[in-house]
Amino acid sequence: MHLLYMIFIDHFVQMGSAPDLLVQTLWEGLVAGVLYALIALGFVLIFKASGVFNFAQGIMVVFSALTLVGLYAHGVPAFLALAITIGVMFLLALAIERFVLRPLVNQPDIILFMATFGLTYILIGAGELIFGGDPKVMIADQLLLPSGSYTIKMFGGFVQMQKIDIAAAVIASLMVASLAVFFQKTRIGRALRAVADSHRAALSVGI
Amino acid sequence: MRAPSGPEVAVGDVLLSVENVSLSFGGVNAVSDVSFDIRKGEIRAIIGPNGAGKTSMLNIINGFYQPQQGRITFKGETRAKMRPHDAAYGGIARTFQNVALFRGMTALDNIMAGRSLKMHRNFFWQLLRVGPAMTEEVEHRRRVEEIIDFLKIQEIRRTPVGRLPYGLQKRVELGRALAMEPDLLLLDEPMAGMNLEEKEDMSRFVLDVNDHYGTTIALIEHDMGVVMDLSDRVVVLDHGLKIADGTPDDIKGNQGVIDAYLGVAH
Repeated sequence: MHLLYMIFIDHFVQMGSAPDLLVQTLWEGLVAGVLYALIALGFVLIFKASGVFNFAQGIMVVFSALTLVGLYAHGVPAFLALAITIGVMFLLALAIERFVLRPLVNQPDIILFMATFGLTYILIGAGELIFGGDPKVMIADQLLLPSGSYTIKMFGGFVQMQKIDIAAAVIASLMVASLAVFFQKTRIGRALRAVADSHRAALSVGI
Repeated sequence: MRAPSGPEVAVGDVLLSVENVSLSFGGVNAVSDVSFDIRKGEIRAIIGPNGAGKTSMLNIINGFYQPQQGRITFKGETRAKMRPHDAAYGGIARTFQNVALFRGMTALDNIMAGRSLKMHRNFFWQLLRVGPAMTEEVEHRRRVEEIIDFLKIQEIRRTPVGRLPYGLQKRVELGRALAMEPDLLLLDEPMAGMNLEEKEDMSRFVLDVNDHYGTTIALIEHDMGVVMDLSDRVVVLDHGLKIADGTPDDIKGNQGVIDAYLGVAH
């Protein structure tokens, strides 16, 4: 009985007794969720366009962050480093398509999946080889992202919102929204979905 | 024979000609030294028993396969090699024996995809949905709605095609091909697996496309009743060889064709 109480009732009693903590937790959960959505967006983009589940998506995000921070550490100005990082990731993606995925076109999905699996280990190794294994600090300030936090008085307590979390949530929401419009409403978006669905039908209509 | 008619198409000129085309896969001769032509505005049937090389022939015409020998002339241009993209760009559209639709997309989006080659604004403007990009999208959408009306599939335009019954999927696939406004439409067994009523509907659509848009059609079909009713001329393949070519009446009486279908008494 006590166990059931602990599982099903107790949490709600606690929530009721500390509403400020509840709001704080909800907010942090929301921010974490939005950031995961941003990474998931990468999965979706690639899956919709190619039908490939790109296991290397996560490590590619890490690799881009490492590149950005690494370039900055070598004295490249922050925004130039950002531009170069975008360029580097673009080239990396092209190289992956050309040398890893294209030779496997029309193979069963699981084979492509395994290829991205292998890619993950290559990128982990490459990242460590190039940038070293020690922890890095993100250059958020230098990219003019806001720092500090708002503290809101609420329910007799305080709720703290990091400004950078707010910025992240806004940017991520915008990206999700524009991707949705891109896939639903543009010719290229439609073409990408079409190719993922049926390769030969797409060929027959000239995509 | 039904007289082919079309508003502005000069009937009778050769639209596509296939000369001495051969294609083999390893040791299997799918198509051997086949020649025939398709004239503007006509409905041309390609028939033959299973494994006769009919689908291979369509795949050669729309660039999926490259023949090892022979020449293909389309709209006066002879080509040694053509990719599917060139075929689509040149005005050849097709449907598939086992429906090949974009299953996750709605009927509307499937048909819109058929207009990909005709849309030119870059995606940035399409994303913003302003100015010329918007005008273009609206214009294409209007054309697509015409096709949807024509094929009487208004009520399923928002349904993902994977959920539609087979007969309707075939109709959407025809719609996607029509959206390309093709000069030559290749239909690979448009009535396969349909019941009588669906076959009659599809036959009417094929005739209407031919009449209304003046589209030249090459179709593969097993239902002899349909073939004889629809087509202006018929070419018969068997084991990759052409064994007959002529009007439906010629073909009906052709001993070689009867033998190919029924077997020869020994």
